[in-house]
Formats: sequence, C-alpha cells, structure tokens
Amino acid sequence: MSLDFSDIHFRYRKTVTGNSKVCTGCRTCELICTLHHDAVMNPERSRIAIHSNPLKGSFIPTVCHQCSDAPCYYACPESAIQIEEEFGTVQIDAEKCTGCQACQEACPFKVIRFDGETHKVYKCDFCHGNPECVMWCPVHALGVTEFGRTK
Amino acid sequence: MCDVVSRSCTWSYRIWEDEVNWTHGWTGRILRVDLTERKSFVEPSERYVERFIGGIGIGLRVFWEEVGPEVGAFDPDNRLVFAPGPLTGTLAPASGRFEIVSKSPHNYPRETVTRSGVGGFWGPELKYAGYDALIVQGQADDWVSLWIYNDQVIFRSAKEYVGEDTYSTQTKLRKELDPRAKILCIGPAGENLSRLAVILSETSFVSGKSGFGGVMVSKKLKAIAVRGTQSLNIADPD
Repeated sequence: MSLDFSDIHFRYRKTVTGNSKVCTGCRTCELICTLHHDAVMNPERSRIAIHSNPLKGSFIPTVCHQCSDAPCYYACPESAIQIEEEFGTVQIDAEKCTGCQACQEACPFKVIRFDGETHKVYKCDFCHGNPECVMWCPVHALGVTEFGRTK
Repeated sequence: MCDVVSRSCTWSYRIWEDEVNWTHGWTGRILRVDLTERKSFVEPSERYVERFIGGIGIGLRVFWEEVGPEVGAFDPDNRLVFAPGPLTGTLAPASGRFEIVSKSPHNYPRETVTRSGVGGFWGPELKYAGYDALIVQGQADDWVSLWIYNDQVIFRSAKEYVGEDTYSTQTKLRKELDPRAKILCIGPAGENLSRLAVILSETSFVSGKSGFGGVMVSKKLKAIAVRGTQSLNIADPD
C-alpha cells in the first residue's frame, strides 16, 4: 500500500489501544510480548510499555499507534518501513534495517526500540492480526481498535 | 526419569538424570553487599539453588552457614536476605512474591530467624537485574541507600531522606535515579528502631511480619532501589 497524501489521515488501520483507567499495571502484557517474540522474560525488550507511577496509581499502556501519517515511514532512509495491506499496520523489515535509528527519533510516542545485539530497531508488529497482549490482559484494559475508512 | 539419591545428609532429595541447565529460571548469581566496608560481591548461586531452590530456602541456608545463635537482631553480624524464587519474574501465577529472611527483633523470648513475604514488583526487578538473591550484611557508619542497576551497585548517601516517610522517599528517589526503578524503603517508625517497623515498596507491598524495618535501620540502610534490564531464560517457552 502506498501512502497517498490525500488519503493520509483516513488510512484504514488496526491498532492495539490501552485504557489507562482500567489498567492495573500488572505488566502481564510486557512479559507475554517478550515471551511471544523473543522467548525470554524481559519487560525492557517489550514492544508495549506501561508508563506507571504506582505512588499516584497511574498506569498508561503505551504501544505503537500505527499512526496514519506515520512519521517513521517518512524518516526511514532505507525504506525499510512499510505499510501492511491487510491491517494497515506499520511494519519494519529487519533485513533492510541498518540500525540508523532515524525512526526512533521521529516517533512521537517513543515506542520504537533499538536492539543493541543485532543493531536493528523493532516495534509492535500487531502479531499479524492477533495481538497476544490483548488476549492475555486479565482486566481487558487492552483492545483492538479500527481507525479510518473501511476498505 | 528421576531418581532418589541420598547423600551424607539427613534427608534424601531428588536429582534429575537428565542434565539440568541451572540457568533457566535462576540467574546463577547472588549479590552480597557489605555495608561496613561499602563493597559488593557477586557469588555463584548454584550451591544454594540446587538444594534449596530459592526464597526461604536460600535465606535459611545463609543463616545456617554464617550466623550463630548469639547474634541479635540489631547486631552488625545479622544478615538481611532478600530472596526471590526461580519462578519470580515469569508469568507463573502468584510468582511475584519474594521473601525477606533475617533475625527478627519481634520474636519473643529470643530473637530468632524468621521470614516475611513481600509482593509487588521489587522481586522480579531483582531477577531482571541478574541476581537470585541479595544479602545485606555489616553496618554502615552513616545513612546509606543502595542503587542497583544491573551490574552496578552504588552506595548513595541517604542523609537527606532521614525523617521522611516512605512516600516522599520513593518520590525523590524515582526522580533522582530512574522513574522505572523499584524501591524498598523504610519510614520514620523504622528509623526510631521500632520493633514493629515494616519494609515497604510502592504503596502497599509490605513485609508486615517480623519487624524487619528495624533490622534495616540497624544497618543504617534507608532504601534499596533496583532497576534491571536483563532477560530471564525460560526452559520451554511454548
């Protein structure tokens, strides 16, 4: 799918969305994300992050918004970031990625992470239509939302 | 598959015939902090976890080997063992709890070894920092707080936190160190060597039993902040 400027704010896409009023900060989503993608337990490597202040009781799940205008898409010099056709999600092609981290700087939500071992960036890939964090959230604070024009 | 083997101890225990990889679940390291000399050591945890698994087992073994019956709760020779288990930090249900083992000032008629369970996120964070347990020993000459970031162990002065309650201590430490750090601290009750004082993490994760806040204060330790970014390996992810 190519990004047409006239279509930019109405691009059809599915995203994982979090409800900070319901989230209890249990961090199950962070663990299941790393278990599913990397087969380890490490919240630091998770694609979804809960920005929490437990003293105030605020827990904000933060995950890639699959932005319709996708700043990372335009920032990538290698055109390694592509828009998937089926769900409209923004995907990083690990083979093309050179690890320049331009997308990391462009991201307004800072959800793109850099892997120091492989020198590549990674972010939420929507688990190919079936997000594990949404399936495992025990309080249903996470959900899948559709935006934009239907296909 | 498995086989009961008795060794030169009074009980028998099982070992697996298959070779067991001890790096799954456990991280294989124990952090020992000596507050008298302000030094930290890393020890292999294999000799503890192979027989005693973790949590209370590690703690009681440390006391069995190192601390005699004459040591009181507020003595510098007393140890303070923070021990998560092998499942802590994974998705296993109710695995987030860790145990504090020490000589309790609360016990009557003698100050004996007890344990106290704490929930919350401090135990998993210690595992992510790469340690199976944290052993605190000695007595600092002045108020000190610990900052553990993976392999770095930093002794910070905690003079400015003395007299503050747990809420403002954690707020300031989070602002100074790292907003994602998990902090165990004590409040004013502990600083006055109350025998009922608790060690508290966040707002509601408390070692309510045994009054270990007083033990922590007898070592002049105000807070322990931990931040870990390492991975825990899982034997069978599927």
